Amino acid sequence: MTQTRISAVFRFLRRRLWQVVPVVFGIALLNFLILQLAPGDVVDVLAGEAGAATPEYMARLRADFGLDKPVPVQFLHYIQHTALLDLGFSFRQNMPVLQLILERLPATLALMTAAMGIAVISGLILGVLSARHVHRAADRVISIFVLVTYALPTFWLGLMAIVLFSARLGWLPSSGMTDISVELTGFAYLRDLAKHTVLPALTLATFYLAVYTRLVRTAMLEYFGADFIRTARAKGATEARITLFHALRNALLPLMTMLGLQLGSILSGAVLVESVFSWPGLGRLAFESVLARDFNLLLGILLFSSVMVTVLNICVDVVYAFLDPRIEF
Amino acid sequence: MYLALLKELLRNRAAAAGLALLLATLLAATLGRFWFPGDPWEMSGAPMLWPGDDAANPLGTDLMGRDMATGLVSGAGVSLMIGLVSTLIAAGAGITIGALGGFYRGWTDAFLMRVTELFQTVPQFVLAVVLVAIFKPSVATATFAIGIVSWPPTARLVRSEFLALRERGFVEAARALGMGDFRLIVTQILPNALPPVIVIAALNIATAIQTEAALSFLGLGDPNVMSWGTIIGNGREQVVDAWYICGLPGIAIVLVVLAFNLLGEGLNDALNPHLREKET
Repeated sequence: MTQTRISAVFRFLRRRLWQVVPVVFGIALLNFLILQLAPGDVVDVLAGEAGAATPEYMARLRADFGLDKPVPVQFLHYIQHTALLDLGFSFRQNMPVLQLILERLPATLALMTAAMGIAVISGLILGVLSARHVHRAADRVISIFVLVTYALPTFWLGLMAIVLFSARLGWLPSSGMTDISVELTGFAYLRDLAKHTVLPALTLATFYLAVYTRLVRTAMLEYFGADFIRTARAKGATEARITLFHALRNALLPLMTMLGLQLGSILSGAVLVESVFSWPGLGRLAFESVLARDFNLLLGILLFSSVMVTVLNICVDVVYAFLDPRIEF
Repeated sequence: MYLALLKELLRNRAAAAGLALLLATLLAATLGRFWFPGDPWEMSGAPMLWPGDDAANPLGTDLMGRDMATGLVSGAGVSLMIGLVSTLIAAGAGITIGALGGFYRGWTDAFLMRVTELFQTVPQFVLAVVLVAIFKPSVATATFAIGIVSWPPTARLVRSEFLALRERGFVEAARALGMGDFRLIVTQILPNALPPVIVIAALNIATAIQTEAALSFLGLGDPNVMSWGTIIGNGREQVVDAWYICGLPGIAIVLVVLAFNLLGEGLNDALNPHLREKET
């Protein structure tokens, strides 16, 4: 990694970060369209209909949106607010939407990171095993496991995991991120956090684990026949070395591509997993806002999570370039 | 041609298993109605009867004493219907957008691809939740929302097929004969672009069924329709004491999703034989 390459990475980052702008604009347009098409006027929708909003709040919202003005002006208004990340105020939670989202963000990121770590590592192990023993018993067992895993609904898997591992066996806690009944610090706190993370992270990881296993298997099989592998064999490299250093390194590339493509879907999965395990993240917040009919908050989450997917995608691209020196920025 | 395709599918063990599972679900959704004709919302026995406890409720009852078998049969119909219709919506939108982009290229394509990318960036399930929550939960909004969030892969696929096919000789020939754009797209290019779209559609039905279940699990199902996700969502509070209430509809979802996945893969092998050769 030379100096020029590192500065190229920074130039690339600067250019890519501009791509967040059209995403924000697009989602804002989409949100605005949904609000326009929804039954009732924008303020009725945003304030929910349970009647919890005070008349003053409704009047303030109507003024904010300039509902007496023509639609294009209203849209400009909306875009202006969104561009400054002013996502409005959540009446139900009595807090600005952005602040609510930022408070819940770390929990979701932690869950996603843990789940992806599990999925990538076990996917690599199972995929390599499968490819090394292609069409033999181990490969068949892994293939059937992958097939069934593809069909498991995440939320159902989570519920069944709670029944087995929390209720019947009593091994792991079934809800929350930490034990709130005791004040823990240092190592004990981390231990508690880890115990709470196991079930939700495994549940979220399962589907992606299956996807990566399959992907790595296909990629490895393709590379086993490639010229550079034959060269390595001719040089006398051991099979283990060929598998780990030659084929696997290249199999990581399609895996990264897939990971980048699936970020949105992982976030979607987190919504379900969080509501099953009462994990205090963005997904749980989305679920709460649906229950409370707090649509302003819900639309804010939609916008914020889309921006997050774009930003994470840029990160994936950078990692990709580190793995594959042929990539030009 | 269809008979040949069916024969090919039946020769493939995995696809045949998928077809059998699918047939079983179809039978459950249609004939099952005659077997368990009751209203799935009506109380029919003591609450929380375990499967096998009482012959009148062979699969037990839920927390409110509603018959599980009747609910599962109703859920089979809902899942298949929403899965199929939302996939038709997604395929329709995807084919239209992909065909226009791939055929006209230029700024039309650039614009449509931007829209597609946008819909791929948005977390799809979150968008579906937003749409259903704001437009009031019902079978129609769920179907529509699932269709809206699942068209981008089809659009991308159709676009790339169109980009390749539009340069081919038979298209040039038809154009030289004076065929208009619309007829060129619909009668010449589209039929040749369809096989991979059919594969994606089969897989899409599987995802749509899972999405529908997830929506109703979160309480965003049609309040008048008993679907598998609804049963799981209702049984959730007592899952530790009566796991079968969540367990049985979950198994049903797994089987149907598995069926469509197997079918999709079988179709893929049958329609793209060159891929199969590469695999071995």
